Amino acid sequence: MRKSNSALQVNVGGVKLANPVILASGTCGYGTELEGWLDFNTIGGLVAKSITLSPRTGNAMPRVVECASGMLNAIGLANVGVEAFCREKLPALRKCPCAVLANVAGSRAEEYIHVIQRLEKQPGIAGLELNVSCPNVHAGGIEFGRDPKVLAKLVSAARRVTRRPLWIKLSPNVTDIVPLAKAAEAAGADALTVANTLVGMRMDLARHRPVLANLTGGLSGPAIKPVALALVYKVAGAVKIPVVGCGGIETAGDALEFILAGATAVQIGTGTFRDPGIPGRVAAGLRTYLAHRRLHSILDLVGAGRV
Amino acid sequence: MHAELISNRHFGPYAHLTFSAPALARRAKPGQFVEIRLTGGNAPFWRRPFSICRAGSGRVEFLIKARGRGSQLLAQAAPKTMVDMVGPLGNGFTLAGKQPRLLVGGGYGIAPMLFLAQQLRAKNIPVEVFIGGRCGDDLLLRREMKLTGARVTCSTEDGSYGHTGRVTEPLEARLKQAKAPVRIAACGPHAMLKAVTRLAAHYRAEAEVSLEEVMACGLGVCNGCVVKIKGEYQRVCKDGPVFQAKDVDWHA
Ligand SMILES: Cc1cc2nc3c(=O)[nH]c(=O)nc-3n(C[C@H](O)[C@H](O)[C@H](O)COP(=O)(O)OP(=O)(O)OC[C@H]3O[C@@H](n4cnc5c(N)ncnc54)[C@H](O)[C@@H]3O)c2cc1C
Ligand SMILES: Cc1cc2nc3c(=O)[nH]c(=O)nc-3n(C[C@H](O)[C@H](O)[C@H](O)COP(=O)(O)O)c2cc1C
Repeated sequence: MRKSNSALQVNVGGVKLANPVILASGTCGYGTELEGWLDFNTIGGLVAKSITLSPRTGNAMPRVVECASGMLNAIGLANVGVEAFCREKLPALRKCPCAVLANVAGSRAEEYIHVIQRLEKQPGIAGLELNVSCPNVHAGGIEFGRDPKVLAKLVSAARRVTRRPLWIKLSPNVTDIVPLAKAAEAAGADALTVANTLVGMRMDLARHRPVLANLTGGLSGPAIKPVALALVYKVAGAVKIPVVGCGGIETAGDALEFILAGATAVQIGTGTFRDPGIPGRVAAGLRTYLAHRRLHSILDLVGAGRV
Repeated sequence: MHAELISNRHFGPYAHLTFSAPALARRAKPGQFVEIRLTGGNAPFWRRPFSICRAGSGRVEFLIKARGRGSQLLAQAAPKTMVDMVGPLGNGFTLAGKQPRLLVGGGYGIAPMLFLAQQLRAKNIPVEVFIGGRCGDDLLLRREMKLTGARVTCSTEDGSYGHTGRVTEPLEARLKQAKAPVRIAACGPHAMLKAVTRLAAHYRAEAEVSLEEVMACGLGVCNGCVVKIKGEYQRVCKDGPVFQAKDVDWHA
């Protein structure tokens, strides 16, 4: 049963969440995979795996490798495609007791728009997150995430075809994230997720070749937390729309750091792999922290660490 | 869920671990595995997958070969150590059907075969086990296998115990004589599984193989551990680890 506790409720650009803990895209599949391992009543929301217009099988193997305090992935947006998503995955996702966001990716702007249009009449989606930052597909979403003008065009086009809350998930692999954040805001984004994975590599000492078939992959986990935190701090200072912090969160303390930096909510990705109990424990820890500090709402802490 | 290590017996580079884990023991099926987290820290970063070697009476057993840091930590763990487990995971071997079973295990690949042999014997299905390794030290669980009532044939590549040569040689001899249909289940090195698949096709026997891939989540969400099955990627952790041998694309 969901514990009702208004202290943790947040509204992220029109997406109402019972608590600020969200499962990150690509780390919770289409929801059902985690049934039995994670209680969806304990979290605020989930972002489904990125979907594209056509199904994608993803990159060649190996696709994942461990590294110090984190992992690299080069899955390559393997997904069932928007048709199968609507037919086979959404019915189960709708039954989820938390908010469900769809995440959209594509190689061309038209691809994003087609997917958004196909989803528009489907009930049970609380909001959309655009992945403009996947580092693992060639000519992939990353192009949209690097150039403010290109990003603005995509976001405006998306804005025209959806009435749903529209979140943009930004890339950390840029020289300056602020112009991108501002461009997305000006083009009509309702919130920004900061951030996706950082480009990284590992070498195989036996083969004298990169471990990943894709050569590089996206770094996630505690290794990237300080980087993501600094980006959230920067973005939250530059835009008025809510920011969702993401990168290396495993404890309520980690989540609180992001919230103090200006995040209204947080996403947990790799933490769920290491322990599917983490998202629920983070939410419970936030509740405990508020009680200890005698605070009535988590909103009292959003940005409270900014100087 | 937390599990307490009750005993840890060593055989060369191998360790046979018994944990108290009642909820897990009740639900486990032969061929399934458990993702074990070894430390509260960040190294190793991921959990490590290990096949369930035996389960029952509130206990779960594993047979572990010390390789890198993760398996070493586990193999060296002292009784009373608490570890965190996620499982049982994956699909498991087919138990239905009365055909006699030929179970093939190479190295620590014998681990899931003990659990399978036990459950098949409990249904009175004839079981023959083919245990293979490089040398005698790699032939594990011989005694436990015999206690299930299974017939056991051993082979070593160096000839130090049993048949000299590969485990697939006595298997082929057995398949040649087969008068009625048999079903094969195999777990072990890639090359062995490939050879078993070839034999099964040649002698028209049904065969299931348990595959291994490095796993990030173990839960079916990340798509990191995929293999080509009938030309399409499937997840070892969720769609497997047991697959019909004939469906596996061994060259992918
Ligand atoms: C479904 C499944 C069941 C398994 N059952 C058993 C078992 O019953 N007993 C047992 O001893 N081992 C088993 N393994 C293999 C075991 O998981 C690996 O040996 C272990 O993860 C290696 O971790 P490490 O930290 O010791 O070594 P690492 O330092 O991570 O690696 C050492 C070597 O092992 C390889 N390796 C790493 N992870 C895996 C993996 N998941 N699968 C295969 N090779 C890997 C690496 O490429 C490297 O060559 C199983 C694997 C799978 C996928
Ligand atoms: C295996 C894996 C797959 C991912 N797939 C996606 C994806 O499809 N779309 C997306 O926007 N982000 C994807 N991500 C990025 C995560 O959503 C998240 O932004 C990132 O992992 C950082 O958070 P973390 O450190 O908590 O994992 C993926 C991450 C991992 C580890």
